[in-house]
Amino acid sequence: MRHKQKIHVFLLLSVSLIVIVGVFRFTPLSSQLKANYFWLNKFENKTKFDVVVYGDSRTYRGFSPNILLENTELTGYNYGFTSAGYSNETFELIRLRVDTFTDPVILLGITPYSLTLNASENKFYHQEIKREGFEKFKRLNIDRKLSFFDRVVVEEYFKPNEELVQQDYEDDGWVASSKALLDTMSGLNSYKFIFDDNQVSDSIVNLVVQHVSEWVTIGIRVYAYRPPTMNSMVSLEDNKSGFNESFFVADFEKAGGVWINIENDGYVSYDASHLQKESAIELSRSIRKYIFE
Amino acid sequence: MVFNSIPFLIFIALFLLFWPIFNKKNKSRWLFLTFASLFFYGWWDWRFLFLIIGSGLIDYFAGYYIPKVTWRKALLVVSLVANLGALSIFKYSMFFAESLESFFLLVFNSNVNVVESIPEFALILPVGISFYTFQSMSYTIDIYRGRLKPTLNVFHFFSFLTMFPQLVAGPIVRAKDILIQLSKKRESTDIQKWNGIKLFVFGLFQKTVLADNISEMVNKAYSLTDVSEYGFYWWIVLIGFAFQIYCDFSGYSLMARGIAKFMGYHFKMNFNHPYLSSSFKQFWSRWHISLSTWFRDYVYIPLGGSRKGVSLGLVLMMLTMLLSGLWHGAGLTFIIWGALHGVYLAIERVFRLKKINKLVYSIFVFIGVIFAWNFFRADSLIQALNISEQLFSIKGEWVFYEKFFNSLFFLVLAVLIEMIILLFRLNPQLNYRFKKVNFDVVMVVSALVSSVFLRGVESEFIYFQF
Repeated sequence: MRHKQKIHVFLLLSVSLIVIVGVFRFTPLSSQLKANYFWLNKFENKTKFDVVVYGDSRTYRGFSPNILLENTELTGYNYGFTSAGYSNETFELIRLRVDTFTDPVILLGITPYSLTLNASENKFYHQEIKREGFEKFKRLNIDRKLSFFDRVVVEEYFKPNEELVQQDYEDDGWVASSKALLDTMSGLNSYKFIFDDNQVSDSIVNLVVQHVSEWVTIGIRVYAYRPPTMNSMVSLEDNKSGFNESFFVADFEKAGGVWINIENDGYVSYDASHLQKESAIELSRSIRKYIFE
Repeated sequence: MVFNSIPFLIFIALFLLFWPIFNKKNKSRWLFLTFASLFFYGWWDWRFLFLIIGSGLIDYFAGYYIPKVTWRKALLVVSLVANLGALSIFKYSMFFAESLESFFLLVFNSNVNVVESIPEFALILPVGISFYTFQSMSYTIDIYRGRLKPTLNVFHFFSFLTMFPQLVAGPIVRAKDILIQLSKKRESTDIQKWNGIKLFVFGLFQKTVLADNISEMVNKAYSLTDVSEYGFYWWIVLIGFAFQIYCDFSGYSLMARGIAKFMGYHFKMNFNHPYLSSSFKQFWSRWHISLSTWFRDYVYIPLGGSRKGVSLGLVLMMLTMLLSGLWHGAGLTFIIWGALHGVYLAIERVFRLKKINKLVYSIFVFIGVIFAWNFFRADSLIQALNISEQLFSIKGEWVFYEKFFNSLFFLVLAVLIEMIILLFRLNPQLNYRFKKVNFDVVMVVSALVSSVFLRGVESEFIYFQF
């Protein structure tokens, strides 16, 4: 074959194969392109809501504002993100998303890690908001419409579906996550060392308390809960993080916040840390009574 | 603008559309190439343009006047100070300031605040500054040495300096190779076009499929501030990083060479399967070849090389490797990485280790290289030392296999590809047979389709930060 012919054959074959693979490939369990839109939109969207939820991955995977507010006229959004912590800029983020003309509510998912200095760096948040120019435009306007070009994750073709986590990016900021085969170890392994040289920080706790007090003063109802997880995870965190829940709750309530006590029993985690979709739905419903009833 | 992005796709389509028109005459070719390249570069941040244009103009005028005046040495010094000064300000000011603070604290037990006095503009690292600075310096040095005649047209010079395929991450091209190619109309033949496409697609595959997928494992492993796993795990992570950085950088170089080839230009090879090296010396003649040869020609040999005795040769080699480490990054970890390679090369030279069984020594070289990569990749010296310690722990678990299945799959694929290349090298007949049945078309199509669907999560080219 001559080289010119080779170029033509290459173009023809490539286009044909891309179309064939794009049409016949499996729908991914977790769409990368949808995730691209979901995360950037979370921080770029300036809409105000009646209920704003904030926390780390246990919150964004484990709580659905739409389910909390079903059968109501109210609006809500889950602003949780990976390794989210507390700093002045994230307090500002939360505050600016609350619609203060209604009866606004802020709900915080408090985990020991979220109260550490490492978490307060909010690296994931910075990674997303620093996107600019065409990349930003692409993620917000093109990516979710191009699911044809979503990446194929080879794991999904080699492993049984029960071993994989399915993630659905919902429009209320919740990532509904589920896995058929529960793994009671992986989360624990990654938390074993996470608190070495990174204990719960008094300064962060004080910052939370101070902001709660300010919010309450301007008429925002502030609630907090510790996202349910496996008991073994709670013990590990209590032993290693330096988190004293009762002290924190006392300070939080003194600032005017309402602490919601959630028992771990009855909730199912797929990786010893995050809640299964069904449990997240159950939790969202159960919290409703503390806020609205 | 990165090669594997939609803006680049639009840019290159428009560029190639107008290229045949502007390519006809020298002046229009240089002008078009310069402006297109500056647009490509300014896409990152238009403010970067001031620096590249400023330092380029200094080198152009220095080069222009060096052969004409008696104070030529002063002009060379101006060029070197301008280039190295810009590099020091934008790349090393933070490192120098922090080192100074630590020095005062350790020696005089006094707190001096240098970091805060660094102006804000100096904290921005212009993309590719180390690459174009070296390229620009080699222009004036070669003119000073009488090995190159200066170009009279400023756009001829800038079309060489800013030529977009290699501008931000090399290969570091030499003025004497490129200016001559740019000085007349070059039309690419069908074979050059086909080879250009092949190089670009294989580079794209290396970057998007291999490097980006493997990076998931490496980034997760290094994002933990503490070492949470044992020896076996960290060896796998380091092998992963070895292939990630290789596929990332080699991928970029291949794409750059592919675009140039498609336009009718030739850039020298920058990587030649370095992990198949049978000695450390060979490794450095196969890894980032354009940088290694730059340091050889402009630092090591001018200082005396191996001509001034064994001991001084070793000292100069160590100095060159330390500078190479510092070129890669402003940090102690990069300097240690360079030093480790300096030590490897010195031991190899003194004890003539190459005489050991070739296969055994090749494995030894590979282990040495990946051990050094830990310092290159680590976020801090403490992390690097912790991980180095763990590498010698004989405990091992295989549980990470579950977590990193995807990355490990592509790591195995990358290793297999290198093995197949080795097989082809050892067996030239095989190469001939595959060429006969147009197997290259199948390979390129597969690589492109894989790049579309099997790509990893997008990450920036590692070498952009240098």
